[in-house]
Amino acid sequence: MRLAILGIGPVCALGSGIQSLRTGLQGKVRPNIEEKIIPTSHGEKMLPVYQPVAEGLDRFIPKRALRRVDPFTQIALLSTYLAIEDAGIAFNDKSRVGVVFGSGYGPTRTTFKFLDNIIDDGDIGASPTHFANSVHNAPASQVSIFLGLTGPCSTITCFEHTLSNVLVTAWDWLNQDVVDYVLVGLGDEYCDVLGFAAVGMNAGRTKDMQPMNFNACTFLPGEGHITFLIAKDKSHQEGYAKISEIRMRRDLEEVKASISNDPVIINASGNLQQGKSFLKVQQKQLKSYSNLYGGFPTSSAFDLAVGCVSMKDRKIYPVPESQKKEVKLENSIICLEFCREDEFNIYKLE
Amino acid sequence: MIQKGVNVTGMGCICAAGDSVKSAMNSLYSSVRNCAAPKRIQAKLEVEYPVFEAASEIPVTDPSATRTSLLALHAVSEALEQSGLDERELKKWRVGVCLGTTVGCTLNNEPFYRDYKAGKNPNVSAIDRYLGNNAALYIADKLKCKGPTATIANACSSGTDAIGLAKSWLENNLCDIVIAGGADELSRITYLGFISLLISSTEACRPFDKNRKGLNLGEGAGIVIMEKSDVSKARGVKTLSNVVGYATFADAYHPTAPHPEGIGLTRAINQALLQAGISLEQIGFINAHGTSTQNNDEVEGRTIAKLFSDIIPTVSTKSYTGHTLGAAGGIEAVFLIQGLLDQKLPATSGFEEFDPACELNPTTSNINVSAEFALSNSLAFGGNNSALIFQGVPE
Amino acid sequence: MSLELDLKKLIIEELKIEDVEPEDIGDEDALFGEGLGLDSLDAVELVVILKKHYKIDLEDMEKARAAFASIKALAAYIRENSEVQ
Repeated sequence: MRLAILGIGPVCALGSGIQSLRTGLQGKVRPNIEEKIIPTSHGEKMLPVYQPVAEGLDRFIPKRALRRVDPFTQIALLSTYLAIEDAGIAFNDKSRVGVVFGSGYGPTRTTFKFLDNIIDDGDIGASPTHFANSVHNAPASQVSIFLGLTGPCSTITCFEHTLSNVLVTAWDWLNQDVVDYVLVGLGDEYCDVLGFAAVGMNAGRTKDMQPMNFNACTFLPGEGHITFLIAKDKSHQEGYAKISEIRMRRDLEEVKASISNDPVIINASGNLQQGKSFLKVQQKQLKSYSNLYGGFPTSSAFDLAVGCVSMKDRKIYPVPESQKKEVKLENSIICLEFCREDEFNIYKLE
Repeated sequence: MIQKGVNVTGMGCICAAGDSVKSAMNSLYSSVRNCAAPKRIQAKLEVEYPVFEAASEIPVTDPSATRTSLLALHAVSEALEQSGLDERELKKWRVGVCLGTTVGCTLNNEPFYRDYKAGKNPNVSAIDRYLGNNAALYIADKLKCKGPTATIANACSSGTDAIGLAKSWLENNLCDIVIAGGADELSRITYLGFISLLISSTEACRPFDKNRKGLNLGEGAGIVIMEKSDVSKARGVKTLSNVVGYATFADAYHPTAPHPEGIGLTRAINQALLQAGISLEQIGFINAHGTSTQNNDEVEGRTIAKLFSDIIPTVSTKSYTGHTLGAAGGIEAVFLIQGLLDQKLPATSGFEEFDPACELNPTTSNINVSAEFALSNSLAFGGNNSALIFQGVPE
Repeated sequence: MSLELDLKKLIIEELKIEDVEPEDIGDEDALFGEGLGLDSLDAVELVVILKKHYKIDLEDMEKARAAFASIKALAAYIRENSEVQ
């Protein structure tokens, strides 16, 4: 069974909605990068951070209903509504819509807000609302609550293994026929502590991210959420592309054998450890677009979206800042996600 | 007997009731509960809320490991041994790791953050440690497992959902063996969080009792080794149980309260039965979620009573472990399987008075059962409801 | 400023209630359910907020239920039980 991607709702530094991602790929829009001041033991340092431009949630939910919803869950909700709108689908049976989300860090700002409460006000100051909002499954749960979806709802958090497992879970629910549609959402939130940690781990040495430079640390943190509306593959379906293969944790040999001549989108994000492994893939058509949205554990989901847009537009967009031209895209495209040294997840889009 | 689903060939557990399956079951069958003021964590509150801390000090085999990882590793080792999976045997198969957790995946290292907030520029090794202690990844790395690896964070149903996902991996041939379950350590964050929600009890919990005052947090890990039946057969290892049914559905109701009519739970149980290909009457007993909170026990009790009638033997083993959050589904699966093997259920400790609002009489003493199948429920914040059905394979 | 007005401002601010001014809340209006639309999670949040600001203990949900009926009931409870007003 193949998975059909019917709608996509990206919310990232390029803006909100699929058109913002497309215009970013066309080079018409530049990502929103904010300079954050990071304290270090050698004084303050500036760290460029990709921050989402989240617009339009009030089109879907009245502001009053969002009073308890934290910023991370807000971009998760926005990306979900945008994905459904993009697909142009109305759910006839909300009991047959699943929600499976993934995140590396979860709602980080709320996590630290809860700690702020108990540090500032003492242990009696713990806020139950912050506690409830700080759990990893808060975004998926809120999506199910706001949209009234009573299918299965699950959240996976496993860094480089998040996207693959979320997709496999969606596949399983569709295959078991407990759902007609699955909302597959992935995202991560930036917070000052993550910026501090990134600088402590050598990030922010360059002003821009150079993902195709495998020999330098050019990582810059990012933030965003993206939701895909996915269904079983049927003929005469609108949409972007079909995921025909999800292969988890494959070694270099298998990667080389399976990517053949397809163009390959890699989730390189200026991280040296990744770069070392990507160097060994030795394929001419490697492309990374992560300097459009920044680096975070689930940014590979944005690569998948770039693959989908490329499939729909039948063209391979030039890597940002490369001055190259678009190339015609034939039948399929591969997204290659780094797991660990010489180990990758492979996603094939047709 | 029809062999359905996937096989469980090993179990491991650590919690307040004991540091092995055997020692924990001994506590359960002799109604011993180790519920006391927290020792490993401190809080400045006017009242004390007792907890169920893991029984013994676990050896720190890895200084970079968090307590959650160590708890998981402890239970994994016990389970692997029972399954006859040593390092060499593990290498032969595609082994997946699927674990549920809550504390184990959150970025809240309090000492680090206090220093950071005070402008002391703490060493970022604390963040590095967090990155290296994702529950499933930690175990997969430690054991060099190459199969699918996932950590599930569905709050209190995480462990149950991890076993459910592992089942689908095996059925879809993504791997041969899965190390599945859950782990969670006691932390100040969850301790203060649950107290702030006013659902923690100042006395030992009493699931389904009319005078219950809330839950006690616990900690631990519960692990099952699951295998495709052709794999366990080829390895010549004894099957303890089959995982035959799993389902999860959302209430879509409220962030911290279950749907009053238990719609998600009812649907999860029915779907799990459908998947198992058995009828409701074939369920011999239930290991309830039974947290001892007002809301949970009322909704869960009523749902069980409505579906099964009130005579089905039901136990809440949280009365011996406390609520171990992400570990709960794993630990309860272990107890349930042992119950099927022993054909015996422990008393639900603390339960004295029937609550008409719950409509449920849990076990009040050790009882013998005659059960081929049993059901384990998990309900979670956010409105998740998950049900797992196991089949016992007695010798 | 009256305690009642203080409470209205506090609730609006801390529970982030949009588009509602203190004068929109009547002293005897229901805070929960149909009235202001607060729910069980707001109730427990309110317990923490009131403890922080007025040093009163409302952890007994029965007591809280009565005190949370309206601004009037809450103010009365605080006057009776708090040293900070």
